Amino acid sequence: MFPRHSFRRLAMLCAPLLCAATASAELPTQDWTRTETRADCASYTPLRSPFFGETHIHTSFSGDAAFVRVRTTPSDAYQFALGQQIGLPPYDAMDQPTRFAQLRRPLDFTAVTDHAEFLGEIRTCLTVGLPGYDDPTCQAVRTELANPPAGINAPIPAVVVAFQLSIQAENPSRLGLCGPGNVNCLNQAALVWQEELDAAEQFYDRTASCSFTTFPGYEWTNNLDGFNLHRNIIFRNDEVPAMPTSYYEQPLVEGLFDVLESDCLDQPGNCDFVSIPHNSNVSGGLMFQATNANGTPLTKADAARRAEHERLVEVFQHKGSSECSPGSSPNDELCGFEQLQRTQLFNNANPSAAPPPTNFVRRALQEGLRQHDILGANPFPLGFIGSTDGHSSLPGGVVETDFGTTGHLGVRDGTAENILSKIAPGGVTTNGGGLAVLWAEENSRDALFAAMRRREAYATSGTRPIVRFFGGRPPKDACGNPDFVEEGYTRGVPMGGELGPVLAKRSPRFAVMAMQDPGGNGEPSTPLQRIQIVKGWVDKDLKIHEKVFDVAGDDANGAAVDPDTCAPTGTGAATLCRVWHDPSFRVEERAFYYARVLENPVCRWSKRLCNSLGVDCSNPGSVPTIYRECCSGIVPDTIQERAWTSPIFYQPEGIGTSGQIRFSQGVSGDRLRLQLTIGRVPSDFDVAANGLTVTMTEPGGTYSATLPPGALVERTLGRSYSYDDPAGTIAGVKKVRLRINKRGTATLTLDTIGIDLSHVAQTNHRVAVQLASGAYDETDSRFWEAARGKLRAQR
Amino acid sequence: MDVAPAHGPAGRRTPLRALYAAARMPALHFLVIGGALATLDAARSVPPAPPARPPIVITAARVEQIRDDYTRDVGAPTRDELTALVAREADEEMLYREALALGLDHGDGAVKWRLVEKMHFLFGDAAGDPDAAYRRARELGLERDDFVIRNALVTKMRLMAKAASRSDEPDGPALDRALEEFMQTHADDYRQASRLSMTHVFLNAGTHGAALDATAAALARRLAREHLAPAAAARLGDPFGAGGTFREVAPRDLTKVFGEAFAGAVARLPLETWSAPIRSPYGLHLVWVSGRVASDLPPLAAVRSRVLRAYRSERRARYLGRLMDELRAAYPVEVEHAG
Repeated sequence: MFPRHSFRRLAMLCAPLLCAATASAELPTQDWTRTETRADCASYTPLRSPFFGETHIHTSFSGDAAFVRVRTTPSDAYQFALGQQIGLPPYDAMDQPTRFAQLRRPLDFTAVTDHAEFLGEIRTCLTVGLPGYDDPTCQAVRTELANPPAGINAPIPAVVVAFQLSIQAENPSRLGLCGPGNVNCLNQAALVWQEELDAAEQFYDRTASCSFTTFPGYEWTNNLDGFNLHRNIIFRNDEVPAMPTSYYEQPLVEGLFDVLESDCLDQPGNCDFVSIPHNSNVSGGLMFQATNANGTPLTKADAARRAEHERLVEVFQHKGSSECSPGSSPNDELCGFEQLQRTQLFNNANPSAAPPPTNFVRRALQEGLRQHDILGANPFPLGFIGSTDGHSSLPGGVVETDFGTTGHLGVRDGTAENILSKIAPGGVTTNGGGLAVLWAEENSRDALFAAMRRREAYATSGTRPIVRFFGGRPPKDACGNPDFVEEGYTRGVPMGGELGPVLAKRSPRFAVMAMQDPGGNGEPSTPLQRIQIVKGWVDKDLKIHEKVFDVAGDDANGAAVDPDTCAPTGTGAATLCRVWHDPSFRVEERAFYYARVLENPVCRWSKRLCNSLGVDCSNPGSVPTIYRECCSGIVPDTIQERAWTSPIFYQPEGIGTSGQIRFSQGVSGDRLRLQLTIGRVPSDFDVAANGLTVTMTEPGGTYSATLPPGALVERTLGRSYSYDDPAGTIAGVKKVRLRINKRGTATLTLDTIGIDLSHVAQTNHRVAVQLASGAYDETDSRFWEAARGKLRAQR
Repeated sequence: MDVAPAHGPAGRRTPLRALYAAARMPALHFLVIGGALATLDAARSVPPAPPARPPIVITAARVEQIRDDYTRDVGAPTRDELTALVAREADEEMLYREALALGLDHGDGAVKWRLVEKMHFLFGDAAGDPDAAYRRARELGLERDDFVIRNALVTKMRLMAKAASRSDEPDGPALDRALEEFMQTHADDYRQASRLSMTHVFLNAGTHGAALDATAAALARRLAREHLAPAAAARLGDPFGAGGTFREVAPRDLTKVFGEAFAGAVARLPLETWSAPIRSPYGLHLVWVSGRVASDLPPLAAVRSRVLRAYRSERRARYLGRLMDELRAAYPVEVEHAG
């Protein structure tokens, strides 16, 4: 099941098994170890804090950013993230920026992800004396950059198109300026990559203050046929490959992973990475098609490998939402949110048909479940983050009030006319982008990276609400319980986690809590409107389904904005909380659940900008042509900022435990009774042929019973099995019954004769129950509670 | 100003003298230019610095051109802007002339390529192979007043000055002392935020509604009376998504979770006593501050790479400034005014 590289990551997957806690609520176990030299963080908290950041920002080291006259570097980007002012193009003749930008609230972390493709090319063309500098393409680059940029309606300059086209070809090749064997560009790319690493090192706070974290990273820019198949590669620490892998070297995602495995995971040391795809909304349906990139069908190993590397998806960024679309989710009225209305990044045409459903993450998650049922592994078990994808070195430049004046694409949106146009790339259908939020013990690379890998992450459309989401068996009254967080971890999994049938055939419970963004330094604190839980699932006929549940708040709270002043009206909630169970739960159906938290509406950036320009749509004749999109209605006046938590994945092949130990006063008189529920047994589940092993692990020791092949007797073909031994010769097991119903749901009961379980403490403690048979191997870990000579599995 | 003229008596080592010395050391070019421009003709002997510099004349026509270029790109320059633009032109001319004096145009790949291209433009195939074309171009003096070559050489001079600024950098313990001093003089850039440890008891405005203030007041009285440990007290409140206990967090971390007003109020609380109710967007909080760590400079080792980079960057800028001062003292500049 695990690909060959999993050893490095296994340490991070271990469950909180063996904790000598006595209370019934405990702290979550840290699932990472430190791989770098740095001070421990003074503010470390095992209950984890939310860290707000950005994993997708470009600087002048990206070719397309250089073409829109951006001159700021990765160091500038990190300074901006820390709250310092930086310059924006256009630059005047004294090489001074004519515009400036400053983040109102600093970020906690940032990964600069310049395009791997042109790192060396742009440097070559702009550094006199370098081999390739005198190539005609470089001359054209310099000519383009020496002249004022063409107007927004002018065709894209030929030299820019040449760069673009080179990353759209199926068999891409670098431009001629790179020289024989591309040595010019590769040599420079290695040096530029070193500068990226130097900047990341310089701004990473390794002191106990832990005020800011950087990650080395880059973007692999697969733009096949104009469709967006881009990924950001984020590294765990400063142990990174000597070079980024570009689309030129590896035009298929599997090839990218080949190189990252050989040059990172397979190297001695602690190199590790996550791959984060983005803008599936303009991928022509290709980003999440259920095949390999070369068209061959996915195998279980292919799916597992993809899932191992791609833990997260950038569900929201400046080129729109990739969550869902009205076409693919007609019953979800909120899927119209920030749709890009383009089929390709660089295409101005209005889409003539609804975009392919596999452009959207919700469909990818559903398809992932379906493939899991078909193949035995889910290729798309994706957690969510948001980011900007800005190209002006402005990480976290997301604020509605600022985006209209700073933009994200250098001089491309340097004027109101440009940014309010409907011309790709950029323009009025784009937005300020989102943020990535990670729940981690501290603000260090190892801790944040572990959060990314376990998907304890959420995306926002730019604001900073605080959202917790747990699934499992949280107390029904968790919303009134001061131990909400402790109980969430103790009795379940956080966002991004995986669950089995923890409440036997009943729905697991989900506890969600949201607190409104407290705002700050001029950024608003907008109340919450409601929380929804989005469920996706696949039925026994492999059909996919989705349903959206309103679980807290009120969508009819009357909140609105005054269109003239943008002042909000009406009220909302500062906090929302709900413990919810799924009324449509079926224990045998694979499903995911994610929470969507809606704020009250505010003015969209475009509305603010149009208002500030004095545009009066009620008097069309007065509206200048260059501002016509203010009144065209192609974008709404308001936006409901929102957060999307990573999904919790329900895995029907997991087990749920109930049972008890009845302790006796005498020797060897303790009796164990276990009742295990399996939501759906896999097709190759065969206890008669494989036997089975039940193991109970706890701090005091282990109880294990293995029934060998043939021990369980098949009573009804494939449906019921039994084992009886009044003498209890195998670990005291007296009786085992296994019943599998037509839907594949199984119940296994096990009773022992009196045995010695004196290693089991008669206090509340955590017990892990494991059931293994053939390839099947599942564990349920929960508290068992002591009461009057008994120990019972907590419900 | 303490600038020794380039042609003055030997003695104090000036940036310009360092460049002349460096030009005689091929190893440094390699260091400087990372291989890309390391084709300096090592065998050629570098002349001594010229005894006197002829004046630089910025013609009225050139001033007009500068004005026009700027007007086209940015808008009409102010009087001060124009003066600065002209001064920059003069600076670049100084660097260009010094580069020629240092022979930096010899054995330079970019210069050679440019001249070969020019020869091919002028003579086509008759220009011959690149080596022959290059020799002939130099005989014809085609390198003179070529703006591509000029730009290349100005850049090369700046790169050399950048490298030369490292030549007298202290090392070992002396460097550490210099970095420590640099950090102290730029303390604001490196100072770490103050930190605070606290526990809060949260009362959710939505849960308590109109009773919020009364409930908070009653709870405050109870906390004052019962001397509960902070962790136990926190369990008397409502659940809070970001937790009840915060250890050594910076003001910014509190703002992120509770908002500015709350963070500001907590910053003023006395240690180890329950506060009066403090408002946040979510409700009221009773806060126990258990400790504070004052804002301070980190140990140098923790930020050494950041300090070193900034230290070198400042030295580079100063070095280049001194070089330019030296050159400006050596070159008379005459700016012609139209009319």
